[in-house]
Amino acid sequence: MIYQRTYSLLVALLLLGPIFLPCNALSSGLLIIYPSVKAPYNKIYKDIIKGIDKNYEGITKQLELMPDNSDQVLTERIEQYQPEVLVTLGRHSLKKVCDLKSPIPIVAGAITKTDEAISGISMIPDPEIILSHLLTIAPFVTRVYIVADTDRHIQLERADTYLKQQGKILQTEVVTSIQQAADKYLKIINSASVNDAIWLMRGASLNDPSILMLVLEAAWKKKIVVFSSNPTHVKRGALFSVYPDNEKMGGALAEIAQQENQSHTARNTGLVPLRNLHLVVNKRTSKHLGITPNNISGLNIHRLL
Amino acid sequence: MFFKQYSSLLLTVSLLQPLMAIGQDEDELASFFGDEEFISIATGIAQPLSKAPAVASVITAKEIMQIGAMDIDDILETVPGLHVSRNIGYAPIYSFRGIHTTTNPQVLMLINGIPLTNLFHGDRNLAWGGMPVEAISRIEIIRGPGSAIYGADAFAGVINIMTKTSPEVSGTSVGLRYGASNSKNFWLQTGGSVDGLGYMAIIEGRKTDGSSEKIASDSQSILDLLSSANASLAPGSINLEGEALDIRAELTYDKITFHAGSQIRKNSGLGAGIAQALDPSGQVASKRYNADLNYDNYNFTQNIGIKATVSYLQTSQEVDDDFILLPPGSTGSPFNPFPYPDGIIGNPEVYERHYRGDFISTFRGIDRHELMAGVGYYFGEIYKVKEEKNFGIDPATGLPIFGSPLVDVSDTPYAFLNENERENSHIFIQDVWHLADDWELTSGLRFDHYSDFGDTANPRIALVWSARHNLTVKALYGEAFRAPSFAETGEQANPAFLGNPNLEPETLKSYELAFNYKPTYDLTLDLNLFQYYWKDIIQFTPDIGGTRTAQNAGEQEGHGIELEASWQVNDYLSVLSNYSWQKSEDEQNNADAANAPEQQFYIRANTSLPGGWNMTLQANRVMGRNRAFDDPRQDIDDYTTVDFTLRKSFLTDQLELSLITKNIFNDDAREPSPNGQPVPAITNDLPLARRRIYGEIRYRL
Repeated sequence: MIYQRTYSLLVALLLLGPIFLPCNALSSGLLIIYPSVKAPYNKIYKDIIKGIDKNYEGITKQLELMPDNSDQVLTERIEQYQPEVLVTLGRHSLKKVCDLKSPIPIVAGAITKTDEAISGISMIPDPEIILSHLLTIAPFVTRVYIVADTDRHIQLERADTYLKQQGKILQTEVVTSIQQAADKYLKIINSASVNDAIWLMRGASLNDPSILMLVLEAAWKKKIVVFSSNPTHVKRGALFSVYPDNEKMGGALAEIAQQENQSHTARNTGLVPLRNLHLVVNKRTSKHLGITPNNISGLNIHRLL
Repeated sequence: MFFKQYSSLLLTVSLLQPLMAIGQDEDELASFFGDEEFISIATGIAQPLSKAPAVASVITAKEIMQIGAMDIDDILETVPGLHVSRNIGYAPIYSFRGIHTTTNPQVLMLINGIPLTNLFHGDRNLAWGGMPVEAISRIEIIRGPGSAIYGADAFAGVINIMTKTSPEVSGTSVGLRYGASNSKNFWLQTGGSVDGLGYMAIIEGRKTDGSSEKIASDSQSILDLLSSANASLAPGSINLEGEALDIRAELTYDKITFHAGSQIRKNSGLGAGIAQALDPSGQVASKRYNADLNYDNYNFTQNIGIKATVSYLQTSQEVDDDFILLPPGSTGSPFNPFPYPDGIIGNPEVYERHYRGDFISTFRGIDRHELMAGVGYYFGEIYKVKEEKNFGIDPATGLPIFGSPLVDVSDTPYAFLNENERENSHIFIQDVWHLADDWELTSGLRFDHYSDFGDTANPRIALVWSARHNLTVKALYGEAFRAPSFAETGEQANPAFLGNPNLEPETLKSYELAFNYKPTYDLTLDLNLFQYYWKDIIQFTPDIGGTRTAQNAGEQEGHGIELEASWQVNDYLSVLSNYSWQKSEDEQNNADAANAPEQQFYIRANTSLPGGWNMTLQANRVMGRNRAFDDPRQDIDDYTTVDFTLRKSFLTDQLELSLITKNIFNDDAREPSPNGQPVPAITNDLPLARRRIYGEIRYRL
């Protein structure tokens, strides 16, 4: 009898167990940590979070890190929610979370690079996507020139492999100074023909507006395709660029988080390049090059500037 | 003491570190999205600017904040070739490129693409009462005609006001402003989305005692001279008090957008008086409600886009307190020896309804062409006209009314206007032909049929040449028409002005040449040259019996230039400036066209400093306003107003405090009062407000 009573008490305790756990604990949930930034930047994070919420199969919670928040806030919140996965957005959040040395797997988004052992998505667009856009918009291009800073070898390799598969040529010039970059661009423009394209890859050399102006002006005169990794260059005359599709990027982060959650241990697969991209095209330049937007079939042009 | 200083330094240093770290995040985001402006476009907060082949200016919510605009007129005055003048009721006259009339029906104002035009005067309502700016996302102003797209009244210019979208408002915020003339403003806005349904609502309220500038003489002053009365209230103050409540709401789901709005005006003063005689007690009111439903699908099929809109607008002009046309003691006429003890009172009320349906389709299936075609239908009516007055003929007895009581003359031939309606259907087509790599030809034609005055067809042609990578040249030709208002076709029982049902629309032909040059990425220069011919201008011309009847009598030719420069000096400082010059001739009288400024100069410097400081200094100079050919007065003085706005935000932009000053050097700025026979009633013009100071607080919840 006593045994039976003890048994039913045990069963009852087991059944009621979850009630005695911290009330906000997330079972198989994730906690998104992102910094408080001003408008319109905050909309980027909000859209990424929207994408995570939509695609993550489980509970999601958010923590907006205020500039004056102490580390304790973060620790307390992690203890309160007990998430299975942490998703950080931006460099500041990632650093804060890594400093905690928590065993919970981290998935990082909205950063460019990190030395931490984590999984995530880089904001750097996948060269394959950019180049496939190029070949759809301007199929006549046979050679792509890049003047790149020294630390771009991963992207350059990826670009080279892709172009080779398509039967096209990548010509790379690695530079270490703005002066060198200017010289290389001059050389490229002088020898380039209408079947060549110039890719303005992100880097220090293009922070100099005089180089950008030089390239775009000469390219206009010679009708050479110039495309860029920076969407602002489209406004200034580059044919096209890409920018992150925040909601889809959130979806992709949710997928990685799901895998982390299922594997139960941090997989630390590193950052993968961003493939969820919008396309932005300069209408004036495309018409100058004889490419009317009607011709760019099959591509979803997100913005025409 | 030492500890206190030291601890605050420590606190600053320790706070700075996380702030800098977060700043790095913003910089990194900016590097992938481009600049802040592009982030706003990319995230759907702001809409990209339309690139219509026209001479257009766009003013964004950001600029509206920077210049400390409190009313839409503060914004419009900064546009080259556009000057905001005032009529005797102090309603705005949007004077584009020398086209200046008292009721200003030659300008089409749209909210989210829907016209606000009233049938009574073809303007935005006698009781316009201004328009607050918190709900405005951006304003696109097209100078020159646009009838080939917009139809009637897109004549001298088009002002298209786009209200904020749900992502743009995103969250809830409140604001308060208090300042000169006991002006109190508040606003409350909220926006967001739930399961794909976007919502936005903005409520703005205002109450003001209004500027109390004085005028020296009025129409009763002349009557006093001609009769033996001593009734004039001049010198005395104009009356610009008023209360306003504006609501704008938007719901969006997928490709469907619904807008609703209301503009309520009450207890509004009548400026310098309906009959140019000071009226400190008369008050006008207005209720305006609008709603529109839009379906917009650019990719209906691979090559076809469609857009359908239905809309409704209801407006009224009502009397809150008797309109005293001439003050107590006035005899109303030099030939009448008997004074009216309560003054001469006339209370006209007008109620209107407007229904519109439009369907537009774009077709991209033909190589090198972008085709657009549309059809539309409009029905508008003045469904109620009311009038009470204490003069004229009593319709019940057929005898003259003498002073009191007020007699209701509504629905009789003695009322100022009859109820009336108008139908309009239209069809238009436009082709953008990419005829060579750097050449694009836009041609369009719109055909309108009106139930009252017949048919009109209006073409436009625009040739755009991308001459260099940083230079674009546009050559434009356009025609426009302006539909006669119901006051012009049907005004009656008025001792001075009579309508004419046989009026034709006014017409305009315009030629423009526009250059856009960007010598550097930080500097944009624009030069526009224009010439226009304005014909069949509707004017009230003298009849034999002393009245005036509306006739297609006037003719005007004008030409001019506009120069604009916009310079982003560095990360913190930007400068914008424009200069306009126009010369217009009243062809009928071989004289300079009256009232519009021949020259305008505007300059603005904005500096945005770290730590949330933002300062804007702007100056506006209005020059060369001629009198009408038969106006005996000297030309009106030029004026310059200088405004300064200072803003400081706190707590990641959650809280903002501002100081807004207008006309800081207290310039005596005046707008021309109407000419009159034998002399103008208000001789020394219409004074604008002097120095004003306002404090403002905004808080985001």
